[in-house]
Amino acid sequence: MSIKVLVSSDPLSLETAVQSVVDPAHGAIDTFIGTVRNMHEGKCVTGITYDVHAVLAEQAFHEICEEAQGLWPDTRYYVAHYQGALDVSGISIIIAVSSPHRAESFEACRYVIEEIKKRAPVWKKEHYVDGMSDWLPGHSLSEEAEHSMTCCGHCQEDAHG
Amino acid sequence: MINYSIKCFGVFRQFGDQLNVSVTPGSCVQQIKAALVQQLGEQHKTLVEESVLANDNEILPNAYILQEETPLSILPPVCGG
Repeated sequence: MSIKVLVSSDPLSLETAVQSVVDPAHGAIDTFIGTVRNMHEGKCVTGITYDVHAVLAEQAFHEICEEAQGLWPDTRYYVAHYQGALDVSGISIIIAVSSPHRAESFEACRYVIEEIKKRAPVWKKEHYVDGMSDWLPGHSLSEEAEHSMTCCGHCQEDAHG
Repeated sequence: MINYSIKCFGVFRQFGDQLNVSVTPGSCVQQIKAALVQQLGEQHKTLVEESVLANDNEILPNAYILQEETPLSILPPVCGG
């Protein structure tokens, strides 16, 4: 299986990520690890709670990896996103991409994380040292909705090609 | 009238785990969003407009007409990673 994605409430494992994309024909594995930062816009952060629509998030991860495979053929992908509360330095996301040569791995991995940030139904609630919390702003999925395969709910799908 | 339970995510969790709205049969997603604004107050209009509704499988466009009492979710702007 060249694409593996998951949402998990268990700690994410870099070893699992790497093992999932190992391929004897591939000479490069690039990984991205997202972690909780202790500062955001001047506020001291103590942790982040990640809220995730697991089904749609996994669907979005898979679609994004498929797109990346279209752009960089012969690549393998692993994406895992954490769901729940993490302290500072906790790992929120791991992406691993393997390819025959390093350039494709670097580029595809960058593509996957950038698209996830814009398109995957995941939300962050930051917690601060003063005891306050804030949901962070983000990218609207409105464009995704209007370009989805689903139309008006009344038409047959083939009517829209 | 048809009742829809809408599961809350992200900033919508301030309103609880789910919201319930009633709309006339044949209403589209946009009309359900309008009903949500009426329920939550005009101060949340921009948030609702920037958010999307989804069923269990996909995000729904504003023109989508719901046929039955489908479980829905409301997805505010996202910021994963």
